[in-house]
Amino acid sequence: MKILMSIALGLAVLCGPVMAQKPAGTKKPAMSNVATLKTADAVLAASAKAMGSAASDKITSSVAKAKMSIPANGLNGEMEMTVSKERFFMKQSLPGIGDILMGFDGKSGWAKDPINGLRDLEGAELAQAKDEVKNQKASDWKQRYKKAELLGVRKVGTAQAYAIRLTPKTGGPQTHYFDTKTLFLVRTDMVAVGPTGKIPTETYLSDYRLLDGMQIPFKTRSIVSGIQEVIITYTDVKNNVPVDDKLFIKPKAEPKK
Amino acid sequence: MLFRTFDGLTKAQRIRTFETIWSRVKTRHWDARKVGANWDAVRKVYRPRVEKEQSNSAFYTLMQQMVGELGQSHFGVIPPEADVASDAQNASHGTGWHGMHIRNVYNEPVVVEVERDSPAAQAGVKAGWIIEKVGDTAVRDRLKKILTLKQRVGMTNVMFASAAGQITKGPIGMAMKYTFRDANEKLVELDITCIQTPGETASFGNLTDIPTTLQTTVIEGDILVIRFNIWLLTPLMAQIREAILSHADAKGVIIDLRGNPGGVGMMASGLAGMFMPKGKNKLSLGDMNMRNSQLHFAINPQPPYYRGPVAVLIDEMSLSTSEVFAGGMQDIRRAVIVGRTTGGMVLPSNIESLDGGLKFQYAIADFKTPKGVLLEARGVRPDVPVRLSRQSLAADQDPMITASVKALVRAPRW
Repeated sequence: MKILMSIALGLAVLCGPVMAQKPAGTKKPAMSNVATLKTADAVLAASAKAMGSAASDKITSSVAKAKMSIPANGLNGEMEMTVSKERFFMKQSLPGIGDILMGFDGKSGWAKDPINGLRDLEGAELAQAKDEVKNQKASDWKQRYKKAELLGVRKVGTAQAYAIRLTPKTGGPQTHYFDTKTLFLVRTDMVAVGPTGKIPTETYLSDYRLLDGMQIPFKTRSIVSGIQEVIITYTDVKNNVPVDDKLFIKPKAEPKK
Repeated sequence: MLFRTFDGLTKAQRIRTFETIWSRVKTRHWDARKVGANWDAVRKVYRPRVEKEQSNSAFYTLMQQMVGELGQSHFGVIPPEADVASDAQNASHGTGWHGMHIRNVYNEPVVVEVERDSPAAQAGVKAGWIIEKVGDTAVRDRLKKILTLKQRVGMTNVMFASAAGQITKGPIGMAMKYTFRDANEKLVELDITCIQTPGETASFGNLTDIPTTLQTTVIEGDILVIRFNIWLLTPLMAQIREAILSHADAKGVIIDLRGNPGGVGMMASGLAGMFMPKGKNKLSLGDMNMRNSQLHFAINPQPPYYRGPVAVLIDEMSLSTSEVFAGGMQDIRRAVIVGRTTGGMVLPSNIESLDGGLKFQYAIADFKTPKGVLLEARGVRPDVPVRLSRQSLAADQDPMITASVKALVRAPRW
């Protein structure tokens, strides 16, 4: 479900008004000295096991519904996402903005929103879509990342977490934080790519629930560009449901009158 | 009375206020380097001076001086006695709409435009008239006091026009006597019955029930004029798209942004995209730089890919997103810009209320056009300036539209 996070966050900047924003408040996690796992590989393998990643091989499709909010702007809306066979479709609906659609059919990606109209995903944005739609088992990190470094144990909220810097084969480095007790992913720091450029994003994952053998975070809270808070709360997640293949295909452009 | 009375601050409140102002700049200024060691040094200089100050006025001056060390606009301390906007709101007679646009023309509050079919138009108000009074309120005298405030001209013009809009509002559905000075210097008294502000109300998060209006007219045979009052996506974006789509063969398009105060920033990119040829990429209206990131106003070409000449009409009340659009379109040479210099209020800024009614305004980002021009405080300067006078307004009720039509001849075609 990670695709659902980083791509969804583009919205926060896409609709950012030229108006005052109250900074949401971000801070670097404090260092801690509790640690039992000594390498990044060990943490990632243990996390994959704890989160039930092996069960993901049996998942052919996922459909999720969520509520999203951008509290500083008083924006509240809904999201729907479908992921199947390395393809995805997402629809975000926010009052005052309208529908924002994004899709990836396995080869090419597209987006349609009230501001930019219909467009193709290109460059880093397309690479991000391709990368994120892949089955992501933490233990298989070498397929996506060329390097993983254990930075130490840091505090994330009230939890202690292993901090691992991952260097992807394409794109900038990311830091993932895994709770030392549960080994669940509790925070990611990355630079997402959207139509407005690069968007530094901190995402906090919580409310994990077991679904079809996998631990799924039902709530994410992101700090976008250091100032904008975006909260996504999943209301319904279903796996292995029938999916309409047409969903992922780029819609036709509006005809010229 | 123009200025309100206000309570004084205790010494402890002055010190607390100083610390708040200093730390807001330290933690929220978009350029961390600018507020590094230098800003720490500023604190060391000013804190002892604040502790010694005995009066509020000296304290306010000191705070203005401190934020002035940044040498940037949109950082300012607004003493309670200078809160003209609140005063104007208090002085208005209602919330109704009359349809007049009043601006500072050679230091006089002059009606520069009367909207068609508006209550003012129906009462017979003409462009070029000076507004003297609304009821017993001496509007002209009140507004002229704003001209005595020591600040940049652009800011004065914005405050002047804003206050004029507020003070002249009348009650909805009830006639009020408006007194004007006409082109022959004769006093004219007219009864005007203000109405509810027209337009579909829309909301965008915390901005609720904002009246939105879109006017599209075709003039001179085949020139499309599009005017909208605010940059709100719903319902305006679809309506604007539809208007341009249905006039895709127009021989020119005028985007009239007079009096448009801004709104959703990225909507400017969307509108610009409608004037780009298909396949044209890599253009933008500019960049907004924040402390940790950059917001790129990328232009995505989209239907109807209008390639004909475009003019953008601006005045001192074209602010924020309107300035982003006009400044960007000017820099990439997609439109000719006509009218009066905009207000130069582009930056996203916070205005925070502090002790004793003091307000502190501070910017959290900057914005630069594609050519690197910082629009804040400078404003967008038109390619074709239009100098308004009472005479020109009396002769041609909308000389800025006339100038825009002429300017289309020299506007680029893509």
